[in-house]
Amino acid sequence: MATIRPNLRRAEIKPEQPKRSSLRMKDNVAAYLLIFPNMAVFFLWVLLPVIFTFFLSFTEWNFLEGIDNVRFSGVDNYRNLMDDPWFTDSMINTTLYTIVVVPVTMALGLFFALLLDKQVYLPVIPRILIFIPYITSPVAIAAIWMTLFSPNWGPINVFLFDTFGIEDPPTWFASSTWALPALMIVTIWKGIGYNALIYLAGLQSIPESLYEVAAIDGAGWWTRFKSVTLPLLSPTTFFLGITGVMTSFRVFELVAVITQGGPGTSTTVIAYSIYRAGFSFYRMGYASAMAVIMLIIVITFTYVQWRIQQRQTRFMRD
Amino acid sequence: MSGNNAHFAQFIQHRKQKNWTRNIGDKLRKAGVTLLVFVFCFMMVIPFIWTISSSLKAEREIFAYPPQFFPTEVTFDNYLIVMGQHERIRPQVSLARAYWNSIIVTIPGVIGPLVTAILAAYAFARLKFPARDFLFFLYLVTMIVPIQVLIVPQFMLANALGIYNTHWALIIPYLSVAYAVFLLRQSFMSIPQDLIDAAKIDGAGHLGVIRHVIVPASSATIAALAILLFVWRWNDFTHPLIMLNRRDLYTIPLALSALIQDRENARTGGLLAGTILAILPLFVVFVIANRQFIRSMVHTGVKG
Repeated sequence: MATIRPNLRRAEIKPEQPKRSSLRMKDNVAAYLLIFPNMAVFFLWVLLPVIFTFFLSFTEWNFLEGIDNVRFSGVDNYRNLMDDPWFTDSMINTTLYTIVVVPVTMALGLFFALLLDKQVYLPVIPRILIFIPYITSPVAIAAIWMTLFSPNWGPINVFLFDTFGIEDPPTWFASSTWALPALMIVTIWKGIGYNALIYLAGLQSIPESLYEVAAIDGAGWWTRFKSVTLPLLSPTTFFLGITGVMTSFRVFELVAVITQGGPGTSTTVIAYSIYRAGFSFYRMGYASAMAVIMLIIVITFTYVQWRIQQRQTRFMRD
Repeated sequence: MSGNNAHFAQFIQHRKQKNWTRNIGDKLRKAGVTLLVFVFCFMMVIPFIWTISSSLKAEREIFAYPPQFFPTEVTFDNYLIVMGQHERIRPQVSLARAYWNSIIVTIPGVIGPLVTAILAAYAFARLKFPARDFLFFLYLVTMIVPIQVLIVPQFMLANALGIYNTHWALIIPYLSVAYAVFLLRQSFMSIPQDLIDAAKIDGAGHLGVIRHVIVPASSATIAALAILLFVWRWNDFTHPLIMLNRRDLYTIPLALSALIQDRENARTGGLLAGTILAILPLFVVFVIANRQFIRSMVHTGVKG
């Protein structure tokens, strides 16, 4: 049997082969035609720029001098980055911002998720309310909070004065101490709705029976929360943590609109420093070197996350 | 016998009453919880309410002390100012123009990537061709690249192609959205082969299969994607910022940021009115289609 079968198959296929390969050819052409519109733009607008960024990062080039004046400069850009407060401070600020914003947004998101999980009349209304900040354009949010945080008679400082008697409230975005915390507050407020609704989906997938078992064991609210809710939400927490870090790391709009990295370098973040080097000073090579560093960090982070997920799935399979 | 019956009726009556009082108790409890949840969620939108209320105030009232939440006299001057309709006060940008600009880049910015992504995702999900997996892998890898990494070369590319400072610079790049291809491919892979075979037997080619089988079967995913693309394009700030410097081309987010820089002319009132006008279209669509919005943002697992 085993020796006959291959022969048989070959005999069957042979006469068809020319027809088949031309058909295959036609199929391939069709497939390439289908992906072409998307692929062409993708190559031109994403892939080519990624490669070009690497190349540019080893050059010294001011855009205003024209493309003929691109000068190869080796790793000079990377060496200069280390002495540039716009780069080093941007790394520190981005890290601080991420460390504060991600966990606080998640904690508040979980709090709101627990609220939204309650049986209420018109459940759609609280969901709409909480989600509005998330879908609002960052520029609009910047405009609103710049006014709210206004140092002179802005509603927040008036509130601080009237309620707590703080006579010397912070000047917020105008203060190098308070500008970054103020940006954090705005970002947290914007992100709560998204985190809450993701957590809500997680909460609703926890089987009711687990709570019943815990209740029979005499577990109180806190024990049930600690030993049923939190552990079963851990995949959601992991997901929100990862996406949160990735988004915080890219923060740009709020900084570009509200503070332009200032006062001084107190609120500059990596994405804004890239923009500033490239589009305020036209130092394209230098900006590209920062971009490469940002890319390396993002790739490293994604790789670590991927490895953790791999290990988790293997653990679950075993 | 009858006494017994009466007794029974009384018992039923009593039970009903007890049930009724319990129901009332439940309802009151639920109303209480509702109130609590509403109050907490309402706190999230106080900044918006304050903005609406202040945009209807006269300029000197906005930062008046003692503060007043509602305007003493409602005025629409601020809205006239930012729409370029006020007879004296003219800011450097008019939102009326920006509305139009945003609309003409958002419509192709939603339809364009949807069409190209449907075609490409169909090929990736349903056809076999050389280098397919490698090409798809490229899409996946570049999905994590932050936009800011690419702004320098993209700006140069736009210059080289001669589309810098035109709306084309906001339309052409978005004809390919890697995430759209990725999401649609997932969805297309789950369509049963039988449906496609049946259409092919009826003589449908690839485009026929896409039109009559693939698109209808994945309409929910396509709708979710359309919403995401709409929000992304409407709110997009980074790309217009590097691609446009002519004020008459500004889209809404860019015009709003120009109003922020132009506080002297626009004044706080104008800025707040502009903010409300900038938010309004998306807000209206969101309230109407809130279910679809939340589903597309929460269940596709992507951050805007």
